[in-house]
Amino acid sequence: MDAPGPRLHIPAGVHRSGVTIVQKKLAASFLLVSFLCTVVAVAVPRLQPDPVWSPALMVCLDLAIGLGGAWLVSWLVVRRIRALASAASVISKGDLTQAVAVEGADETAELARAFSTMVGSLLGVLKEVREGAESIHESARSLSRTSSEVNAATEGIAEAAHAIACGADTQADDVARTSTLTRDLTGSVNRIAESARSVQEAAEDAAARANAGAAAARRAAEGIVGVSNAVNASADAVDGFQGQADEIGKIVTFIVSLADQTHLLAINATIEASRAGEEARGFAVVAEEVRRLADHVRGFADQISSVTEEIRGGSHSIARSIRDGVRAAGEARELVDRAAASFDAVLDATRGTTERARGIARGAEEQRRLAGQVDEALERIVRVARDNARGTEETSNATLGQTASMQALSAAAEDLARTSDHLKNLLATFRLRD
Amino acid sequence: MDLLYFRLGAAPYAIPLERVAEVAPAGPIHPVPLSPPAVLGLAERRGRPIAVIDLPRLLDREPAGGTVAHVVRLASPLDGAALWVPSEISSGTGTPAEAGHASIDGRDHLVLDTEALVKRAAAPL
Amino acid sequence: MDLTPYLDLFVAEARDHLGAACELAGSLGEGEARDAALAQLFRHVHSIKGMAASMGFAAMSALAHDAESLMDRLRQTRAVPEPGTERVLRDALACLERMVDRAERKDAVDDAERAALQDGLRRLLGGHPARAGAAPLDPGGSAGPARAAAGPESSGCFKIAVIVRRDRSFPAVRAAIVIGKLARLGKLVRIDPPMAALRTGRFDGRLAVTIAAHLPARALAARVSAVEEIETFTMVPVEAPRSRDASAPVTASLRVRSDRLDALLEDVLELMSSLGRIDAAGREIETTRRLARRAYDALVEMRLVPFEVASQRLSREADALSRRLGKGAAVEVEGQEVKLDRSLLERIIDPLLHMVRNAVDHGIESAETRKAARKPAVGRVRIRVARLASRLSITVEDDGRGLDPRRLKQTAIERGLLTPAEAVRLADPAALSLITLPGFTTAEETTEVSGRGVGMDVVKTTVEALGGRLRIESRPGRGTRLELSLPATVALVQTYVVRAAGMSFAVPLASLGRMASMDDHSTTWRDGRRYWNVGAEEIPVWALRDVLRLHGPAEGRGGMVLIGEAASGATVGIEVEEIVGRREVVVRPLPPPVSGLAGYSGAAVLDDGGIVLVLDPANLPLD
Repeated sequence: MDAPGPRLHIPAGVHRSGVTIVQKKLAASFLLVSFLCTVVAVAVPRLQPDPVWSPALMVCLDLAIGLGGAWLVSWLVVRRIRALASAASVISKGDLTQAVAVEGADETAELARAFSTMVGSLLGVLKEVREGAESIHESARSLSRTSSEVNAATEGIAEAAHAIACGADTQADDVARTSTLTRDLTGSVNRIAESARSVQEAAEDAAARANAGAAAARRAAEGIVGVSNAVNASADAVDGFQGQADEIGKIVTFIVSLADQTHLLAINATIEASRAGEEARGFAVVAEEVRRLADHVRGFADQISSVTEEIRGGSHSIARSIRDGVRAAGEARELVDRAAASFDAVLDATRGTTERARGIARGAEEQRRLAGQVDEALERIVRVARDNARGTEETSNATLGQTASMQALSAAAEDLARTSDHLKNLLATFRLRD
Repeated sequence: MDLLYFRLGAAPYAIPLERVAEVAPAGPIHPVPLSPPAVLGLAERRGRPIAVIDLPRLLDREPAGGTVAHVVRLASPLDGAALWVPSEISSGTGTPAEAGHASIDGRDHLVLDTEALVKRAAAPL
Repeated sequence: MDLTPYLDLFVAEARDHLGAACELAGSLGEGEARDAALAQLFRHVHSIKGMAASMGFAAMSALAHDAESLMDRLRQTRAVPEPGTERVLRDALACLERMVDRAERKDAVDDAERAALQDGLRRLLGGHPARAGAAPLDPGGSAGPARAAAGPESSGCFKIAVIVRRDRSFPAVRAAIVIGKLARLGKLVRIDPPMAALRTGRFDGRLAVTIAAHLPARALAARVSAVEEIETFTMVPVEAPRSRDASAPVTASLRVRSDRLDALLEDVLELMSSLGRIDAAGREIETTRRLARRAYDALVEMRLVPFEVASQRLSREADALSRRLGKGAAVEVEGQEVKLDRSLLERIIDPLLHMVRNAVDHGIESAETRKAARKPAVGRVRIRVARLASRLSITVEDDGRGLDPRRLKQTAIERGLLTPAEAVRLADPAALSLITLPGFTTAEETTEVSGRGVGMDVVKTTVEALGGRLRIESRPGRGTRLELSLPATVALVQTYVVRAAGMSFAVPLASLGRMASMDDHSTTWRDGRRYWNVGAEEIPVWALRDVLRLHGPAEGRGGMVLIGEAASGATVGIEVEEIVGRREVVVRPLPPPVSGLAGYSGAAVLDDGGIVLVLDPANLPLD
């Protein structure tokens, strides 16, 4: 069982492969102690406490031994490191003239020795740096001066180029605007063409509808004619029927007049019979019978007459309504004809409209084409102008860029100068031997 | 007795058949200027003119309208005189009742005196 | 005058009367029925008597008279007749029949038979026997009026075979018309087919007529060819048939009862007016109408007889009476040709006879008295017949002693017909009418021809029953005038049709003087009356519409004036608005109750059934 030994907090950054001497020392010490302890523990059974307390005692013992050992070692090491640390701190404050004491031959002494070399080389480098910084500062300063001059000249070119570019831009803008106008024009022409096309479509649609309507009207007219013929036929039939009813009426009138005459005849016969005396009694009776018969006939005839009147009235109204129907059909026919006529008129109109719309569309097309051409021309112009402008811009930009880079250079130079100044200043903080 | 009977308005009248020559439907009447007011005029009957007397007027009845009218031509001795009767006429037998009336089919009719009527009609008024 | 055309009618009528009389005589019955039968019998025989007398058959007439007397006696006495009375009566009737037959054949009468019968009758009557064999040889008993069919005045006998036009309707009627027309050309001795056959309507278009014509052959042929209905004809002279040829009927005649004739006339008139009412035009109707018109005309003509028939008898009576009474009286007849309705003539013949008899008997004075009064020796009895529109005027006028109103009144008082007081009040002209009072006429011995119980009262009632008026005028010492004014029952009158206030009137030509047009220049107004100046005359003018109180709208140009004579004799003018034209119409008297309306002479029924009033301008109520 390898009991965990005491932990060491070794500061980071110090890492080397291989085992240092220190470490070998530490390890040897630690192992000895541990061994002793363990022998003790095993050899002395009586020293073995109860199971619970004894491991704990072991651990505590281990710990105590271990810790004690660790502290001892570390104290030895730490004393040296602390001394290094305070030297480093002074160096960090800029004093590179501080010497580091080297003591011993172990690793800490190696450390101290390396440290001291390092400080020394560092000091040499820093001196070189300081010198370089000084020269840089000088060059920087002259560079800055030159760049300023160039800058100024470049700015003048840039401005001129910019002006050109702007002019080119303006032209390009104008052209662009014209182009835009043309495009607008084209656009509206397009819209007109569109409308014309839609009108045409609408007109064709209307034409189609008108055709359909006219066809329907004609069909309706034919249908009405058919109806009208049928109604006329019925009217004729009713007329015929009415004629028959009239015939009946005439016959009935005749019968009635006959009955009336018979009635009177019978009365006159009775008169004559009364004059003829007794022998005519029988005749008088017959005459009376005839009179009664005539009255009956009259009664029946009246009935027939009233029925016939009803029929006639009925057929009159039928005939009338048929005639009304015929008339209505005629009127409807007229309306239909008129509708057909107006459909035809519409058709004519739409045909005209369609023609005109097509004309407009064609014109629009033509215009669009022309506008397109104009547009292209304009585009070319624009492109050329733009190219010019861009060229000029580029020149300008280039100039500007140049200027800009000049400026950047200048700025960089300035920056460099500043940095070198800053470096110098920094270096100035370090106390160097010289 | 044998009678000719008819109604004028609501009143039933009768004429003895022996006083009657003929009953005919009323036809056109030609007025006679200066004739007595009860004479409607002349009508043609069997090729001869007969004088038509306004019976309703003589009997103080309203002149009837309507379409039915007969001319009752009287027999001898009143040949040529005729009574205008604006109603239907029938003939039949009646039983005499008092005061110039007769009952026909149970209804009471006033029997007219044709001679008196014609004489009255001749009066200028 | 040649009465032979009337022989057929006489024979037909006489036979009818005799037939009816014989039937009645066969069964006279009892009581009331017997009286009625006797009365009818009396009437039949009376008619026969009159007809026989008209035809100049005195013997027949005498026999009839006696028979009549017997019947009258029977009727009046109601006594149980002597046995055999009825048999005698029947025998008398039979004899009369035989006499009629003989007359038809124009044979002589068997006088012996007649005389025997008359004796028998008179014996029954208690009268004196008839003079046998002394019956005046007058035409009645002998061969009579029949002359030889081929007499001196006829130019020959011809047989005419006629084909009647076949393309027209009613061929049988046309044949009858042809016969009628041929009858005017002479005496139709024979007609084949007989009229009876034609009446049944069977006629094949062929007609054969034997005619004893008045005319020479060529004229006859011309007249025959002028007959429209004849398509073709042939004419052949034949021998006149012998008068005693009794085997074939002399002529065929139509036997028609007069009342049937009347009825036929009425029917034809009605037919005409019905035709007028038919609207449909057509040739057929026109033809029928013309036919009807012709038939009507023919019938009317058959009804009408010239007054001559009566006047002959009147003349004879007057002559006979005047001879018997030893007076000189001549009878003049004016208007013999005026045609009267037969029935009218029949009914007034008796009154006329009485009037004539009175004129001769009481009116004409003796020759000495006349000479003393410086009158012509021969008295004059003038009978005048005139026709005016539908009125007939028969005047019997004598130039005798006239009627003395005073004496009349006296007689009336004597007879208890008048009180003295009334007599005083009675004016002279009115007194003349006293003679018409019943019972005024003195009972006189009845003679052969005077009517029985026919006094002036009966004359008056008869005339009035016929719708006529009797007017008596007289100038004492100068003469008497009796005027009968009768409505002619059938009269064809020429008129002018005029219009006023939208109404038409007919004005008889006879009552018009003249017509003229009056323009305003020639009229003057005086005292509210308009006068028209024509030459020297100033004629008062009345507008017809004012006279008749008409209110219709005025038509025409107006200003047409009819000028005629008023009742007063003055010339007056009647203004009408329009003159339509001439029209021949049948004027009929206005019926009661307007029969007495002044200003009208009647009414006419036109062809189309319309009525037009016929004016009597003389009697219009002009105020």
